[in-house]
Amino acid sequence: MSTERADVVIIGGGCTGTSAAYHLCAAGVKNVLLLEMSYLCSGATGRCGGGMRAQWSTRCNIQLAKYSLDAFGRFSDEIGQDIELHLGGYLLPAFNPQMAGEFRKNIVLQNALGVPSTFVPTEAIRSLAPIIETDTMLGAAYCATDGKSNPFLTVKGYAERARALGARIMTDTTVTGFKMAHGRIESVVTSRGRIDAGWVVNAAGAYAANIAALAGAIVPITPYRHQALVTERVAHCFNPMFINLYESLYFSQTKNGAFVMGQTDKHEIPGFNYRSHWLFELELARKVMKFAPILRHVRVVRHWAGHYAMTPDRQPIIGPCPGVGNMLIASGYSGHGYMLAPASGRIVADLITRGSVDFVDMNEFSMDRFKSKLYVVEADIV
Amino acid sequence: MAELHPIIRTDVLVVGAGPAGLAAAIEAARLGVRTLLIDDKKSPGGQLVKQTHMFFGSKNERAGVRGIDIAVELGRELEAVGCSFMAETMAIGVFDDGTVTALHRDSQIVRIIPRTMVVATGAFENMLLFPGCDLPGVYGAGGFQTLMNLDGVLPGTNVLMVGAGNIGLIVAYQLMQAGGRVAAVVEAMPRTGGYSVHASKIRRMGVPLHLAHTVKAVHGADRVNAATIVRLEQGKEVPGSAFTLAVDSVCLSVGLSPLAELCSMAGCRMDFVPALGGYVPYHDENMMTSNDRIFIAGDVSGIEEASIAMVEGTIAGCSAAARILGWNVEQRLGEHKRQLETLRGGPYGKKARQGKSELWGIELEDEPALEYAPASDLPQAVQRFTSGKRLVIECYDRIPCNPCEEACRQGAIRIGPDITSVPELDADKCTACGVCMMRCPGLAIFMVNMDYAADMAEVTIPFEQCPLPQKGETWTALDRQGAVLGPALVTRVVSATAFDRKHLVSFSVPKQQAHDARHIVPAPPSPRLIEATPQLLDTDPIICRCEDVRLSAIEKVIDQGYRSYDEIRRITRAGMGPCQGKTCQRLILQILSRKLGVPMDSLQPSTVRPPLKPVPFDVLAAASMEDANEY
Repeated sequence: MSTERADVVIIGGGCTGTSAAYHLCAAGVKNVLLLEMSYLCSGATGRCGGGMRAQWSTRCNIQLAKYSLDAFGRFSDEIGQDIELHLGGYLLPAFNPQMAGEFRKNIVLQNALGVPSTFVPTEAIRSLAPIIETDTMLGAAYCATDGKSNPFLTVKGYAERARALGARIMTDTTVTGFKMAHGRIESVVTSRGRIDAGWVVNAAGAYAANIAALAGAIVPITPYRHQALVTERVAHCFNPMFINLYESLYFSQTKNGAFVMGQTDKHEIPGFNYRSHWLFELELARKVMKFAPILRHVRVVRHWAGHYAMTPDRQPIIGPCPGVGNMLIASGYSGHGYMLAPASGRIVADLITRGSVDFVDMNEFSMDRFKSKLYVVEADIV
Repeated sequence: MAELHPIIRTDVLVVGAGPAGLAAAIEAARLGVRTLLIDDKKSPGGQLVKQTHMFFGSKNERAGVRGIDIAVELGRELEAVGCSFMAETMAIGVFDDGTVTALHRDSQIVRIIPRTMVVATGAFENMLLFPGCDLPGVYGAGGFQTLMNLDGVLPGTNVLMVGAGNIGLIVAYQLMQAGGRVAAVVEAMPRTGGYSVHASKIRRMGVPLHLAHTVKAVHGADRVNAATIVRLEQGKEVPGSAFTLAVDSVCLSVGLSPLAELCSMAGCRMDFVPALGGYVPYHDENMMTSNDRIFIAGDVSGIEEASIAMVEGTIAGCSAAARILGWNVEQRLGEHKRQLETLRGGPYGKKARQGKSELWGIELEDEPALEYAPASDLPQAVQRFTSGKRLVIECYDRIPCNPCEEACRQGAIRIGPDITSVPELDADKCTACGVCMMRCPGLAIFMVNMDYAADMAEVTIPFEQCPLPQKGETWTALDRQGAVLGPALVTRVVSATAFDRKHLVSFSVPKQQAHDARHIVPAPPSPRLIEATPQLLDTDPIICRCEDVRLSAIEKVIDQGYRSYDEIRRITRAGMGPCQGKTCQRLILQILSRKLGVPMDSLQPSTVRPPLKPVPFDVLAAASMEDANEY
């Protein structure tokens, strides 16, 4: 391949990269090229649980999530792809007074930002989700406008819409280096040749630090393996997404009837590891027996691993990459990149086409926050 | 029901108790290492337990013994060498720490921690895609055989068999033994893939064998009632060649794919070798995979005969044990490797020889093509002698097999050390005792007595059908093509325990028919070809049966520009159900290959993930987490 040129080269074909491609094209950028080392949605997006919530503990995450939920709501009209959107709410039970207190505090902030979350008593949990055992719960944070959708279809929708608007997508294309000049990327070197680039968007998720390193930059994004499983299809019996922050467990029922579940292993060591471990299924099954014993005879069909791209404060890095003049980072979503993807893409497009973002305060997402060590840690992740 | 200990440590774990796994387990245990054999069925034997036919090969591979009896023999040997056998236990995962998780009786998770492992999980039947292929009444031939021979159910009584490999031919024959009727056998290739002796058995019973033909569509409103067949030329349908048969079932015998999920999950290198059946774990001559603790044997290493599977099993078991013992077993293995070479000799071993050469990146010497005459030409090879009582051996195509030579006490039959040689009969030494007739697994030896009477000759045939003729009855003689010759008077029926459920039936026919009469039936058969009117439905067959994904949905996604199985899978959900794409993955790869015009080996199959069989939460939750921190 001879040297190509693109005004914007996006690295990463997950939800963030394809959303950026769509938003850039929609904003009028003509020459957008997306590079994906494998196939679209092959990384964390294709391995995630598909949940979308605005119930966060920091102002910025709530803003991004709220923007994104609104965008997911109009996705099929705007993008022309059904994404199996289901707003069944998110249920976050509290198991002790301290958790309940935290939730109530978050709800005040969420309500102030327009998110209609409430703290509901255990009777309400039972009516919202009759399969849940509430004995150990004191109530739950609940927001009816949260929900879930299908990550594969979301990426498909963004990618196809971006293509229709003129973006090019190259799969099976690995970025192997950058040709730098005066602190800027002149061209992106790939397994299929060189691409001269105006802007480079690093949406490589858990690989974002590796990509940044190719340009000589250090970005504090660390991959952590996360395992998940899916069950056989059963009759619809569960509407919300259930998140147990106390025992680190989430589950929901997808449109086709399967339950998707995951949990965090606090012993997980950082690094890439796509292998499943037998212990995961065993631990998770015990939790299911405790919280939804009615599912005891439902069979687990498949169990896989993907990666969270973790940052020190569990908040994404969105913005310029220090030391690399024309690289924007949109990675490090620490497990909630999918639900923020519409906002992420919009931010990337705004930064490139207008130089600023007005619908969210960008300071908390900038790399500068790590210099001060005064960053706000997002508490509520699974 | 007794529970097993939740954690089992062993030296060698053998997964799969078919011929390969049994041989591996027996060999490993014989060498003195702790060996555990597991299988998801209730008793050992694998496919052997439904193989009612006699095996080919030599004495070492138990030639002339029926598969069902080999299963029993191997089971006894297993006990004798002190190997543990765990029934109803299916390996569902293999992990980086060496742990194998197994599901016992669908109700208990057992963690097995072996030092080395032999994977002998066999193969899976291929599906064929055509309109109506998802109609009830379309079966895999192996599945049909299981229902018939193991469960005692005859799923269809008027059957179209698609594929004339050994499995198709054998199942067609067994279907008739079970009282069913075979409307036709079609084979897309211009010759039968299976042994011609198997083809001859069903042809003389009147089954039409359509070479260079395939099934185009299957019809029926809610189940199969007819099938349309077309002739092929260079793989393309010949216009105007279509005809429709009334059938109640269609049996697909269109090849097997190695079932190598465990190896794939363990991270073994997988190579795409069409001659071996698709993706196989790379393995060396000692059956070691790219993981030096994982060995393979049988169909999982490439689709071949059960006799080969047993030898490979012995090699794998020996290698797996030697890996632990630190012994040099080259000499012991050498014998078995030579045995494999002999079995893979001849025209029928060519495909496997090619496959292994491709796997090992070595050039195969140019070899002559299959030498035997097509089944329709066989009568020309017959010596039409006019006097005397002689044996006629109708075995022309260099099958690796020699029980007839072994059986002959007079030394009248010569095959020699290369068991793929064609048997030669020394008529002077032959006393026409008939022992070879009963030992021949191919039912290919007959006796003709031209001196029986003035105008009449007596023909003796091996017989395995019901009902059994009785002396004095008049039946109808059929020739090698199943055409009616005329009445045949049953002169003698010899049955003996030593004949192993075979009978020698003699009948008299006019002398001019003696060299053609090869089968008798109670009454002249009704015409075979029953033309039916096709009810062609606008069918869009289901490709993924777990997730109900149809062909049109797959094609639509490909037309949208998606180029990989994984993408199709994620967008359509095909292959995401409980079977994890066992049937549909291969079909989708074929559709992709055809639509994109790219070779199959350029397409990636999906990652195999645990559990290989769906497990309920309560079973997982009850599993022991003891020692979990060790790993």
